[in-house]
Amino acid sequence: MEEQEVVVIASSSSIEAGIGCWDLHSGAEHLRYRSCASPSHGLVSVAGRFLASSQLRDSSSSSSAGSLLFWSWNKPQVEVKSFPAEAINPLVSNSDGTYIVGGGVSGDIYLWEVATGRLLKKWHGHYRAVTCLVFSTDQSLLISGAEDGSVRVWSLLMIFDEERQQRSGHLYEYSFSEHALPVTDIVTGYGGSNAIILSASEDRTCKVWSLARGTLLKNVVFPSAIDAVALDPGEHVFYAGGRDGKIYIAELNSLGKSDNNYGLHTIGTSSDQSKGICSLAFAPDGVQLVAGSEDGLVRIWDTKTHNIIRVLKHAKGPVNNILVIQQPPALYPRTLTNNQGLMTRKQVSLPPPLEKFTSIDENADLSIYITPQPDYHRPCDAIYTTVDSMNKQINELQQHGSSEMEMERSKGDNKRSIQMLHQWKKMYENLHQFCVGELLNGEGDNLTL
Amino acid sequence: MLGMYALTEESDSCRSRARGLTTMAAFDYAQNLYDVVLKPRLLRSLINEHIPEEKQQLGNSLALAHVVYAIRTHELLSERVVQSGDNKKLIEKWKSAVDLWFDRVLMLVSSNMPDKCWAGICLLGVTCEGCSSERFLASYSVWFQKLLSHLQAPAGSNFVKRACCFSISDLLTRLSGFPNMKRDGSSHAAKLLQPVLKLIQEDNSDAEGAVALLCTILTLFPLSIQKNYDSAEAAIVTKLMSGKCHTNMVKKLALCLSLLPKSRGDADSWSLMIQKVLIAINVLLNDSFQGLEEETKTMRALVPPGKDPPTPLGGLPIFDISNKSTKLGRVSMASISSLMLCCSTMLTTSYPAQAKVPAQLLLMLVERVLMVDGSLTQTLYPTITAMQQEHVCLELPVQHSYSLDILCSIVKEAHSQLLPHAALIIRIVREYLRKCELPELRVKLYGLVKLMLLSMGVGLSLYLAEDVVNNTSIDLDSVGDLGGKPRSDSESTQKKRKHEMAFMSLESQAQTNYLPKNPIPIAVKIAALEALETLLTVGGASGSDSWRSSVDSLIITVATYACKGGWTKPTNNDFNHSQNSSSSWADFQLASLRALLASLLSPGRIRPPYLAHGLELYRKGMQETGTKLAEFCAHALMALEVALQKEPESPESEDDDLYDKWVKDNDGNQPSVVEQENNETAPQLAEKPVSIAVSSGAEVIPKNKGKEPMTEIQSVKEVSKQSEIQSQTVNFHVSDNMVTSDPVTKGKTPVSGSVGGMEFKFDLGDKDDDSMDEIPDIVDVEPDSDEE
Repeated sequence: MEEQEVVVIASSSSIEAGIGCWDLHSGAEHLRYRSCASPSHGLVSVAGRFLASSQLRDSSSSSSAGSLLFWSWNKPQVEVKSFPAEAINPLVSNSDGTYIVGGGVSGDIYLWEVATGRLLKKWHGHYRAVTCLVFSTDQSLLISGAEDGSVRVWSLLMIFDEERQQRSGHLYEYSFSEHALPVTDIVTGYGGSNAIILSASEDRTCKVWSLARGTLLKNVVFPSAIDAVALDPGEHVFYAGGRDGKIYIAELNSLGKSDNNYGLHTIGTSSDQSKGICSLAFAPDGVQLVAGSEDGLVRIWDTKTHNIIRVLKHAKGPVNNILVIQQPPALYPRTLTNNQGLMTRKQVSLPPPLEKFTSIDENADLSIYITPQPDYHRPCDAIYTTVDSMNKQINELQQHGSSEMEMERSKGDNKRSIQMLHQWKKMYENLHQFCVGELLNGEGDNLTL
Repeated sequence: MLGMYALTEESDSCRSRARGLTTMAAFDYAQNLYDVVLKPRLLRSLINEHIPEEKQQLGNSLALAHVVYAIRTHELLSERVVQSGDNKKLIEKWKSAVDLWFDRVLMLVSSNMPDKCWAGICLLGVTCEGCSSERFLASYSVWFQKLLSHLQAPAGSNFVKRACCFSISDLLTRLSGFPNMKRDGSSHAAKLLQPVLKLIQEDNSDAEGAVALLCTILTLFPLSIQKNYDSAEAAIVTKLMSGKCHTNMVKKLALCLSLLPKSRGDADSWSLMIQKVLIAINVLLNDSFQGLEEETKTMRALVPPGKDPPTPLGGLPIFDISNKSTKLGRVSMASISSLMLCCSTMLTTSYPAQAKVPAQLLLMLVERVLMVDGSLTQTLYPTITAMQQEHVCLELPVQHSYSLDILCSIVKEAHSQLLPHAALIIRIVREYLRKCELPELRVKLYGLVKLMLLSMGVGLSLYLAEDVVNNTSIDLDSVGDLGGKPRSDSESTQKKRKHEMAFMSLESQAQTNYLPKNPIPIAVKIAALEALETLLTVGGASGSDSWRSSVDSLIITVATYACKGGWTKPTNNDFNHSQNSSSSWADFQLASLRALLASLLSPGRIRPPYLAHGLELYRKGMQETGTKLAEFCAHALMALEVALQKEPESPESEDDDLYDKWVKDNDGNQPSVVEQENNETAPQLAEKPVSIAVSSGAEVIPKNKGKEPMTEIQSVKEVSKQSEIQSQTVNFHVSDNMVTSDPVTKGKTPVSGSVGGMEFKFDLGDKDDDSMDEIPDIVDVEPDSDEE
């Protein structure tokens, strides 16, 4: 299998550090994107096309509203700045990169269309600031957590269907309020309608919810507030990063085999200088766990051996966002062949800034954009047609019974005509003979007369 | 002996010498059929045998097909030889053979006899495909000129011109394979446009070849058409509107029209084109739907007030909305359908720039067409004659079908961008599910539902499940077919399965107008099964309480019924396949078994109740080796094996429901064993601290709204005191204390009551297994009862 290039992207709440970007395997640092002070869960790679991040409120500036920044992969400077109506904490985009959803400090949730920057929907999601947002694996549900401890599941179809909303009375599909303190992180598992939701909170618990039934499945208590969770791809265990600097392993399916030692284990009982774990993310291989910590370091763990593989130095401030994604092509135009390089350069242009207020009215034309497919010509695409058409024609010739029939009929006609002709000829001859005979007889008669 | 040997050898050599120099090659054997030496020889003998010389007549045309087959199979024109000293002679030989081939073919092309000319043109097309690059590049422009002259000949026969179109198309295709020949190709292609457009417009010629050639030009050398954009549009649209094309031709023309904007390649051209098409359709609909629909707002949306309408499609005056005086002549309904096909083709044809799809307008059109069912509007006086109504009704199914196609393409292309429009689409689909009666359209509609479920996921299944279930049950459970009677299902799910399958409640039946006539075609049943399968796959677990058990039983009933009479061999007579083309009983069996697998695998609240019976069906089916069905059965058994090894999941949720019941019935004070026994579902949990959660939860935590689940405590440090655990469980939301417990003791932490609970739950589990064993019996009985 071809090894995919994977990059680790980290941002912190301190503006000097910017956004760091490393190769997961080599640890080599790529570009560092400047001037980013992100809140927790405020950094997102929009379908691998560009980076977006919400910004912590700048206390020095007069405006209370925060901002949203876009970076394209190949430039360190901020390229697009948006100023939403209020400061946005968590930011998330769907896997296609068509929408960006942000959670405001007031508890409102905003949904923008990336292509146009339009604010398509805004709704009151929580009583206090939204802290995290995730999409379900099939992208049809949005799950949000807030400072008031509630976790809510939204059906995006419902959000857009006003008729249905009025009938149902509330917008959300489920609202879980079992967390006593602010929710700090949410992840979802695989499995479509039967997936689980895992939420972490400052109340020292992680809770597992059933998406299918909308109920709490499991409650796990930890010795410390948990700021980050990551779900093992096999969904046997999950990893919880505590404020005490430890990464706890907890079993998800402890039902059958409660006698093994999972649940007691921690990895990352890392040395004393390590401060709280702020963010966790799994590498695509499902083995390497990337942890961002309060001390500004990014540690990569091997979950099989429980060893640290690599430490990346990011900043002084806490690393509160970690993304592990496939290396976007635009990050390295020079490694590509000429042809592809041209293509990516074309695509680099970023979408317009996100709108502050919704401008959608009844007449707004909500178009769909079909993204162009590169007109890449494959040799097997060449379709030759002559042979088919020739065979068709030959078939027609062969099967054309009618022509044969026609010939037979003509032959018959011909024969009949010839016969007729003969008859006429004969008759004519007879007549002729008769006439001649008559005439001769007449003459003879006359002569005799 | 020796002498004899020498003698024979001598005589051999004598003989070969005697055969003489005339047939030198007679014993010059090739190694095998792959030997290159063979190729020039084969080519030469094929030419000599089958390709006539100037004075000869063209032989049987079948021989021509044989020649072409041989040339393509053995690559006789490729001249692909490893360059080396040894095979110089071979190269020479092959070259001269191919030279001969070219001479003969070109001679045929220039022949005066139409049949020889036709043969030459076809062979030239084959040559374009198969000859070596050097040869092609050296002589393609000569060939092109020859072919072009035939195309332009005013008095040429039709079949020669058609063959010419295909050969030129192949020439261009080959040419487009050379990246540095783009400009040459474009300039050549540009020369073709006038004659091709003329051929398309001419009434008597059959334009098949010309349209195909235009497609090729538009695909490969779109830039060549820039200057003739408008005339090309006009030619295509006029042909479409003529109403004289058969379906295949309409499809080709639609493709041409959707490829046309490519020649400009910018986003605006595409949008303009689809806008023009939409206007054209709606103008025609305004006329033909008069008296059959309420007034629509579509036109205003198409051309917003204050904006100039675009030039009419194809420049045809009937589409000019600014010119109010133009009276529509009688336009055939078929041409509306053709234009609708253009819409869906445009959506699915790739475009080099980002295409902006006016989704709202398209959806308005779809809604407009689908909602017309031929009934008159509620006015005092009918505004149309019965004949007009007849006329519209005749073509309506086609238009509905194309509307569904447009919907399908939108769903396919839009992906997540569909969200703002999803509500409207769902409304349209639900409405149409109620109305649609024609089998062919229902099949398409189920296909659309399937597509939507897959693309929009769980969110949609929550929405659409009820409608899908209601409709599929009607289609699958038609009276007379399965012998069941529709009957209220309410709480009778525990009764005989036979009644269960007809689970449609009377109310919901009153809701739906859809009452099909029996018998329902097998194709509809298959489509319905596929829709159900997808529903179970996507949303089998979510919010499925209301329908899951009835769907499961419906599917097992249908599968049992389908497989009752043994396995049907797929019919081998493809020859008279045209009439009952698509679906056979074997397909129905396969579809039912597929749905059954989804029903068994889709995570539900309870152990799949028909597992044993399902396994039996798959085991039997697997023995039918050589059929698709057997393949699938093997796959199903493998998938189920995995499912069998795993303990059924989400038993906890059972407890939630149990708990809900307790709270309702007992105020949460005493867990009632009786309650649990009534619940036939079998929790399989090893540990059940339910009772604790119940009693303590209800008392201590005021916030708890009856949703308190089992609480599991996991800890990190050493156990301090077991006795603390309970209180900490209760107070976990305060959680200042570190809660600690050892996993080994964890199972014991709940007080003894729960151990009791554990026991009786295992009992239940056994019972469930018992009931599992009984199931096949019940089901086996059923077919018999059907026969009565």
